[in-house]
Amino acid sequence: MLEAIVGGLDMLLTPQAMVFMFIGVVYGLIVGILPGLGGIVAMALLLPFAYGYETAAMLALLLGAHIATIWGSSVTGILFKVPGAAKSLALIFDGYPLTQQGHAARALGASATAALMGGILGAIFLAISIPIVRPIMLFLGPSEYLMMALWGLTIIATFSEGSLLKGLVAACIGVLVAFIGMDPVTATPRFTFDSIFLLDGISFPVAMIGLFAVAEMMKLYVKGGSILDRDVIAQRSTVMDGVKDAFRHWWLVARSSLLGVWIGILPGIGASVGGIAAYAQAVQTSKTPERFGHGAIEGVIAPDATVGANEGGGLMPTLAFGIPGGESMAILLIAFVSMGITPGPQMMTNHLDLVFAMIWIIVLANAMTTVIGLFASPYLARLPAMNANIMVPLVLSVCFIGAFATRGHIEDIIVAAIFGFIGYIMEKYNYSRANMVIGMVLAEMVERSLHISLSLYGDTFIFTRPITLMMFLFIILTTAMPFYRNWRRDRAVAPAAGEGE
Amino acid sequence: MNRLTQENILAVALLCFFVAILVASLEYGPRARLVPVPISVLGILLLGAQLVWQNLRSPDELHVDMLEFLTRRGINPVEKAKAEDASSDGDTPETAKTPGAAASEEPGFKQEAFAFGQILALAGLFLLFGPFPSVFIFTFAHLSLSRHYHWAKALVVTTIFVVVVYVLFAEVLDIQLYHGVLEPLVNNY
Repeated sequence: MLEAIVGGLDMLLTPQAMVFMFIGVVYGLIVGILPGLGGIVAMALLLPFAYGYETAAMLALLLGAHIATIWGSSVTGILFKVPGAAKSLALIFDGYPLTQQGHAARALGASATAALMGGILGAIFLAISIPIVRPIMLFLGPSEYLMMALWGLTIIATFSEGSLLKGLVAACIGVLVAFIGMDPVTATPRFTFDSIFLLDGISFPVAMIGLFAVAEMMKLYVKGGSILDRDVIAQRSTVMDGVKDAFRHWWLVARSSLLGVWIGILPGIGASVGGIAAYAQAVQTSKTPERFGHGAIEGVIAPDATVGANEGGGLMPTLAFGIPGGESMAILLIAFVSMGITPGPQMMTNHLDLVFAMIWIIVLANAMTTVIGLFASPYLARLPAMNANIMVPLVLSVCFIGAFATRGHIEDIIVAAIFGFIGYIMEKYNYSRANMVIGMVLAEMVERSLHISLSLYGDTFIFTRPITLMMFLFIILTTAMPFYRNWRRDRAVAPAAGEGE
Repeated sequence: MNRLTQENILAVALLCFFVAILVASLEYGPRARLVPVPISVLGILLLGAQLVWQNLRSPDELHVDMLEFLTRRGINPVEKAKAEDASSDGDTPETAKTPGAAASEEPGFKQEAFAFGQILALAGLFLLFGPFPSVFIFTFAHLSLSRHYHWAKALVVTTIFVVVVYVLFAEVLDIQLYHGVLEPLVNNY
């Protein structure tokens, strides 16, 4: 194995591979910052240019671009409350309040460092996990996946933006919106009103552009001024403060990275769930959960570490079984086929050096992204100070083109506008937009896993599958934990208050 | 129209949405409606509870966080102050939206109508002319009509912006762009 680790690094340390990785990272950062376009688009657009070069160089270009888009989409989430992709959604909960308080540079620094640490820890966890991962992957079934999706939904109970009742209503709306289109299980068109466009369903990136970007620009136009509050003129912290924050919360980074790797390993779950689950565990394990949602730096660190580590995990099912861990990994599979590499169990024996080369790419691309990101952060942090009169037309224009570019359908412009109105109204009346997106992201996974579980294991599958039952109990336990903790705290405070009187 | 009436109208509209979804779902097969029916029923129940909740409390308390109420979080003023201090790390003002602030900073209907109108205008321009002419018209109109820039400077800024956007999307990313419903008419002449 040690030989494969060194061999993997050796494959990468060629001028061509390093230059390709740098090009991929810079390109990925630009694409990541553009709303609606994420790692999948970046890799798909690069694919035609990647043929005819060294294998390691091609992989460095594709994976480098993909890794960099992750941090790129975090930037817009933190600065403008516009998550570039669903996986960056959790960053808006605390990243944007930090920006409003004049801590944008610190948030960006923490985000970049956490993503790097997550990427490195994820790669280490992955390397250690390779021998034990296969049996576990084969052991988990759809009912366990259902429990993981439900765990992601528990964040709705632990993170409230206004009212819990309204938050739950928003999540229900999100789930129902996700059902628009062809039902993949029964091939029934649902809520399509005979529209061919709606058969494909509502695109998540377009819905997010509407709900967050368009709605935020409407809000900014109505409010006037700039995103930064008037009393916050200069930045109150530096990028280095954010770097130190990430190191100070090393245990949170380690936990979140491990979570990211395992969520990545399980095919079909994706980093979107990972970011949300990481945020949930950060809230649930914090001694001061009430700080979350108001600018807690841990709320930035945990999701970024998870998403950074997730890519390493996503490689495992892609390479070991030929099952893509996510959409971006499906594009990587296409690249493998074009290179004459057949993913499968033999990949772990015959091409182990290539597997480690990809793990090294993740580490090095993360490092490059972080270095560029740390240098760029002080300049990026100034953007929210831009006046609404300039920002509104520029951001709206880019968002609408991004919405169109997502699928090439002009109807997506109308969808983005409609979701913009919905997002504005939800924001105004405190119906959590984040909960709606969480509902949208998890709906398909919940429905698919539920259908398969019922078919395979019967109606009482929760009680007949021991792992499922354990996970179900774990969900109840982690959801009840903040309530229990508050109850205990109140009990401890009550006698003290009585003595004070 | 006061805030409570607005909240009630929105809640009733959402209730109608969930009822409509429930009715539509009942037409599908048992497997296709397995999740949509319980979710829409849950939505109806939640909105019923929300309507009762918001009408039984005073309008000033509409923004009370349900989780805070359930967990009694924030009831203790010492705890609340500690949380606020912690969230701002002791050296920054609390800028996150507070219930009182939300109620006092109600935006005017005219401004909201303008904001809605802008989105409709931009979407309409996209449909008519395609992305780049629309971006040019919208950005130039916004920059000059808001009087942020003199029209000449607005023209320069708009041109640079449109060129950058064009290079990025059409040249670098090679995205096939829509040309608008008016293109066939223009081509005819």
